[in-house]
Amino acid sequence: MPLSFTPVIGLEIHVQLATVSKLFCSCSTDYIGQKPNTNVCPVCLGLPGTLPVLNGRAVEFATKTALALNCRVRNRTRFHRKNYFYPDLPKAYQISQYDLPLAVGGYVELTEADGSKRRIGIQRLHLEEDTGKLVHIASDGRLSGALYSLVDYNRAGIPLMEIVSAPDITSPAQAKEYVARLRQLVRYLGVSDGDMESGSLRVDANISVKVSDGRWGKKSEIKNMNSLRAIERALEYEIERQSSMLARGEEVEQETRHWDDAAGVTRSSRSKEEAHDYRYFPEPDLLPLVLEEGFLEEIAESMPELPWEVFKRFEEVYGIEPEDAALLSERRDVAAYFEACVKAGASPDKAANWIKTELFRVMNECKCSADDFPVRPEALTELLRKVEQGDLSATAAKDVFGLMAGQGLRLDEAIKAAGVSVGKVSGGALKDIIDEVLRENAEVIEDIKSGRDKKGKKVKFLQGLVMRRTKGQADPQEVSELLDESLNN
Amino acid sequence: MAISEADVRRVALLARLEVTDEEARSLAEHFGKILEHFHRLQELELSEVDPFSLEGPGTPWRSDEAKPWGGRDEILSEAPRREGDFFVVPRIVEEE
Repeated sequence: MPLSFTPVIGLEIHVQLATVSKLFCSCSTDYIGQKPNTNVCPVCLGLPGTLPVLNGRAVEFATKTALALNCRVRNRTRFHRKNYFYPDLPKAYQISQYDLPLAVGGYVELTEADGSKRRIGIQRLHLEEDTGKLVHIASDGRLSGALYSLVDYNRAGIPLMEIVSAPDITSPAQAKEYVARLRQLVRYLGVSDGDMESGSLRVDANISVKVSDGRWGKKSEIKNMNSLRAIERALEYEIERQSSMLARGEEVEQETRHWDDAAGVTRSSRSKEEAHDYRYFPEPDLLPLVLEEGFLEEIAESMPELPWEVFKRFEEVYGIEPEDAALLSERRDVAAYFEACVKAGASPDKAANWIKTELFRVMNECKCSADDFPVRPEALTELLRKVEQGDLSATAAKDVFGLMAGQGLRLDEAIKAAGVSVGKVSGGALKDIIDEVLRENAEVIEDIKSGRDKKGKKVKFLQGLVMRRTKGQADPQEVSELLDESLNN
Repeated sequence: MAISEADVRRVALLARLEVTDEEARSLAEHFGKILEHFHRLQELELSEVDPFSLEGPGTPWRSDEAKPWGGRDEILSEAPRREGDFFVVPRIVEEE
């Protein structure tokens, strides 16, 4: 019997919290593109005689996320010191949480491709501080063989929330989906920008492979996956690597591996084997972390509608197809935009269609949010109404929308600027345009009349020309009828 | 409580300290005596006592406001080595 291989995957996600100041000092967290070592102070540089003071907002953000993930939040926890020597931490320890994390035992529900639901457990969620950044300088610019390293502590001390999943994930696609849901959640909650590329959300994966003959390979820890696609590819690669080793009867070594996105492979990080002993002990500079009942109630009350709740509501209340409901609920700003359109009187289907095509297209171009999109939901609804009433063709409406979005014109101004008169071109006016087009394409008419247009392609071509000249404001049915009439005369 | 010289070397490595053979021998003996002393706590009846109390007041929270600190140049200039705005540390990436 051929062997089968089952991957066992758990993910550790570090999320930078969107506070304005660091976790234990008042330095700014705005570090991207800043001059090195400007957001630093004696606390985050670990100078003697300083004491950390906890940022309440960070506790609030972590608690909010924990509750949204169905975790049990503890009223009393504490911080620990995780000791290690590496220059990204000036204190030689990281303040983190160890035996008593802020929250334990939650879950995220994923929807599989076939529509079935699957729960991925959350083992723990805790608070800790981010590290500084190192730049390695080598004579030839390579990472290996660096002569020395430069350190920037602007990032050191930024609040991180670490979310550890249970080893419940069984495929790369599921891992990707899990991260996508968590990213969506932190964005909905406004607790992080969730940007993977800039490192606001960082994912490490623990992955091992079980064999049907009872063997179970050791796990690898995969780092450096900087996009959802990278997570999927790295895990696919790793499953293949481990499975084929096990198939050959080899042992999988427990190790840390780095994903090389360009090469499409994971590589063992051959750091010299060193004694790894973090010697955790309770942080003596901080008293226990206490969450009062009132605080927990406030957080629960301030909880916005969660993305999966919005998805469900769009499906159930507005009858939106699951695929569209997923697109519309993906971002909170888009979901709010859609709902505002429906509230203003747009039909949910039409608004959904328009948003997932036209709105998304322009939003992609301008990289803007739906919250400050130049065409407000009320204006879009009005535009949709004109299409529905037959005042504007869908094509003309797209031009009008483009002008409203691109130049910030009002609906009436945009209609004028697009050169489309409101109301269909039909009857005599349409007949005039058809005659004009026919006059200009005498040889095409010749082809049609002499029976060389067997597939009707040339007639279609003429129809297209007419539609274009009417700026899409004619009824295609009428164009076809009038054109046939003219051609048969 | 017996502490070996290997134990001493391991602790020294974790703390990034160098020890000579002579120091390792004498520290092993020293550590042993310290641990022996603390071992006496085992004689106490502590089965009902929480090993680290979470009782009492919680750590204070501050409001989330960013305040720049003005002394970064002073700290950078105190660094053993700097390059522009960076602190410089010995190379920490291992050879392949």
